Amino acid sequence: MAQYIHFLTNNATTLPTDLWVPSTDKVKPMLSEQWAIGLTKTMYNEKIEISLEGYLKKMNGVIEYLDGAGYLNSAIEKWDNKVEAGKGKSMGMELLLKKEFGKTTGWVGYTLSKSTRKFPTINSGKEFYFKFDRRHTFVIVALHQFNQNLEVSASWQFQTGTPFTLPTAQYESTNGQSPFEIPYEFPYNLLFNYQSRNTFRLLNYHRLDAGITWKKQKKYGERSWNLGAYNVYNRKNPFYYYLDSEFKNNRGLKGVSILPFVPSISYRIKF
Amino acid sequence: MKIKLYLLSIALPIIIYSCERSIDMKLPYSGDKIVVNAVMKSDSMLIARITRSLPPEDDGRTTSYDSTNARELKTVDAEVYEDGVFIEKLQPKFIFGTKYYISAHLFKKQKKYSIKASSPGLATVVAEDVIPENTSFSVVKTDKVSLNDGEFIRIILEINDPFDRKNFYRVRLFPGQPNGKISPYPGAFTAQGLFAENNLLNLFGNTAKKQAFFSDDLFNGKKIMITLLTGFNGSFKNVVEVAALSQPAFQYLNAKFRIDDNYGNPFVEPVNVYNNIVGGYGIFCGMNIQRQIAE
Repeated sequence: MAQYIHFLTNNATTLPTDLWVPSTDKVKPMLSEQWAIGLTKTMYNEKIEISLEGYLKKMNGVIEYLDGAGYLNSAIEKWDNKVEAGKGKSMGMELLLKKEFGKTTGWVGYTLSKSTRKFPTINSGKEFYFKFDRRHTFVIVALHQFNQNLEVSASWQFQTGTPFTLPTAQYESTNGQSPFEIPYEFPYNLLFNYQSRNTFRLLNYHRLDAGITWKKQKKYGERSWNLGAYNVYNRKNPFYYYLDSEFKNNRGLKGVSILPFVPSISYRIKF
Repeated sequence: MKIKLYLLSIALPIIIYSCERSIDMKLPYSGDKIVVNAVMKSDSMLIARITRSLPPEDDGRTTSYDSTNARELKTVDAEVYEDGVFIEKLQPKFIFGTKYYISAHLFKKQKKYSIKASSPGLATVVAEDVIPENTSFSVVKTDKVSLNDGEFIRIILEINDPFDRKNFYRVRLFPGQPNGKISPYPGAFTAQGLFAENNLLNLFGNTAKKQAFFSDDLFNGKKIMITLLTGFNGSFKNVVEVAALSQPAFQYLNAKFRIDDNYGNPFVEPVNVYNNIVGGYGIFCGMNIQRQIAE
């Protein structure tokens, strides 16, 4: 397969700063080969369906920002001077169990996956985990219909934390000047040492959503009330992370979550 | 109204409490190590700064916390070798309140130097490098040009790149001031490389920078011309500096410059700066600086 647009993501922040960029004379289209094999079986008079799929995708020509590069650091410099093309590999398996008939319906899904990248110079040429590499993803969705008017639903999802780059030490640097020369105008002289790109894992992500719906048939059609709750147990899944620089002796990561427990109510008329 | 107030009083604390979360994540630390920062220059004494690493609390730029004392080492034993032969122990000396380790010998170009530094409780570190040969360069032409976005001083340099080795360069420009003096601080400039055969080669991009780093990968053994453009501030006199760098010096200073250049931008990929101190951090490298007046 050939793909003429590239996914360009930034590893420096967990904020969504991803871009889709076109191929250029310098950044060639991405070529990939993908292998997948699947198995599906229905059971109990076709009430339950189970499927298992395995996949392997090899990519040639994926791009990443070079060390020290990133968007917004120069409006003049062309973006394709700041990236490097390399190889990528994704593999995994997906298991899905579905029940589509009866009072209680729903599905359970589990994905085991691994996604890596390798570039000539980035990360000293060593393979590293892709920013969106998630080892485990688990989703369970259930819906129960008590009668024609009342139904409840819930879904719970779990995802392994994504990889992140963190410093492992700080140390003094030099600009090559002797102390007798007039100081270089940039006065700060500490450097971070990073073990490798995307070595550490952020927190696992999980949340439960639930809802209850009352329906009633009316002359003009159907009306329904729905009470819902997003993130029922108020799990503070951080949206982005930063190294706290305000304190001295307690190193720590801070995360900012933006979607706490959010109740909702809706009224719907269908006619 | 009362109901609204009740709802608000419940909802607001939940929302505010939910916003920020301190994550109890144990950050990694690669342990205390010796840090050597020493740049050798031709016919000069070595002035080395030898300290220790610290956990990465912050980058030292955003807080008022000064970790200088925590980085200092009380006892350091630093030996220097020339072409594998011991020449001396560096002696501690305070210069403007900061502790350095200084040699008595003058360091020479094209000699291989190594340093071995130890301090109680920390692993001994070693590093080696050479001071490269002088760069042969000359200022060919200096004039004033008017472009769409203002008036500029254009300086054309010619560098004779030796063919028998891989060379690394750093170019800086110290602008003249209207009072006739030269600024001690490097000024921003754009640079374009031009082969002797007139093949235009954009080595540096179009962004004005205060330092340009490049290797001779694309012009090994050739004579190249580089055009520097810097804003005209009333003075026709500028000083051009071309430094021949050893490979470790090139890799370290180039990466360090990129970090400084991007400071404050949270969207920049972390840079692991080149480090040639075996068992520790920092740099022990050589450079050979030459300057010429362009007017």
